[in-house]
Amino acid sequence: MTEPLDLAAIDPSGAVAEAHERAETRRDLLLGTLGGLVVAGGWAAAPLLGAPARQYDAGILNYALTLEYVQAAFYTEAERLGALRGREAMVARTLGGVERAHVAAFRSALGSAAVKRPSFDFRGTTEDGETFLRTAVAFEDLGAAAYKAQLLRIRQPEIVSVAASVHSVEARHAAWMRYLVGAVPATAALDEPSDRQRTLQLVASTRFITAAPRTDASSTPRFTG
Amino acid sequence: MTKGTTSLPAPDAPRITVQPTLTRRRLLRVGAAAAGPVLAGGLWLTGVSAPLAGAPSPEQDGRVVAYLLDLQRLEAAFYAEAVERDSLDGDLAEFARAAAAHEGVHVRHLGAAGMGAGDDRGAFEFGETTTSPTRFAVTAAALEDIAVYALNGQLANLTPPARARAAQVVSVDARHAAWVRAIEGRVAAPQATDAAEDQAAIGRRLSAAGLRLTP
Repeated sequence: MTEPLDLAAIDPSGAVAEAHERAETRRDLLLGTLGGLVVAGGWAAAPLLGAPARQYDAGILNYALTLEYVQAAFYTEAERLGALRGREAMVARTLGGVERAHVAAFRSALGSAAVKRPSFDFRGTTEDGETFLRTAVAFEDLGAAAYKAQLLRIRQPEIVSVAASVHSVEARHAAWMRYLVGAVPATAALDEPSDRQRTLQLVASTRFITAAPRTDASSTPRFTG
Repeated sequence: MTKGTTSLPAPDAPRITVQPTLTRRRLLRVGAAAAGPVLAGGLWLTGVSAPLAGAPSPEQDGRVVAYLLDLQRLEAAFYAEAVERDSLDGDLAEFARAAAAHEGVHVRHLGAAGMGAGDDRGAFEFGETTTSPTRFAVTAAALEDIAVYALNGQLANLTPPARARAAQVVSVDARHAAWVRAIEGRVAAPQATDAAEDQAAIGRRLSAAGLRLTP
């Protein structure tokens, strides 16, 4: 099922629109290039589905990469600014490492097809412990829900397994952050998915993404504020 | 859902053999002499690596979900007993109550309509893992991790409707795993990715943790 999506309306920065303009496919999309992403079992031997499936999945991976960029930049800025203390600082270090690993793995897998990193302004949310944790809760809950929706759309079995292996980690993060902020880690027996349109609308509403990525690729994240 | 031994003949797909699933007649001795979380030995399913099972189909869904359901039934019975024995306090008690309710829903959601957590009471022996706070926490974390890895390992083998249901369950089990670790003051989610494991690997995890079928 295709999801009609007016990216211009919900993504003024164009950061995610770029992912959908990619017409290239990358051979060997994930064989051996996932770095830190480890999937147990024989996914490498799965039957190939051909270029259209890989291209389709590349679009989904670029969408996931965009979400990972936001999370990674958030935690990285928190750690670099150094305003957090104690367990919040530990969280920024721990989750930052994980989300940066996700970014690296998806960028490696997508190669030249990877959407570039946008610019961010986190508007002070990385500088106050309580605000930081509450923002982290929102990111992780939304990230898990976003992966959940895409698990049904991914066409290559091995990519389903990769997305699954990240999806459940995001849920662990969400529960952990909720516990730290004094909220119930799991309020429902069944979690709900968040489709791409809803997810991107929520991300856009934060105004954390400030500008489309520059066309000359930079490997270092840029922070404002 | 098929119970008992079945096999899947398919010219191009490997065989998947389902061993008898848990019944009231089988006692699973959990938490016996061993120091750890204890579930060992009971290989319910022998199978093949995900995603090299056959192409997703409703028939395959039935067999895969039956296997995943067994793990949810194990969790549901574990938490139900912990709540019933009422030896936990504070955060652990709150967690056990929530997890018991959730796992009961998971059992129903994965297709055993009309089956609640109570149906499996007496089918397991959990020993001190449902009364000792430390052993409860360790066992809960182990059971939730196993469920997560098992669900992750099967998602690609399921048709979209079954996959959607399994995906709704796996993230909540992952939340449970982090929740109980957070209560114990641990870094609740240090890993970048979770495993996606096939049935044989899950069987080995269960063996390593101490689950044993008694005759």
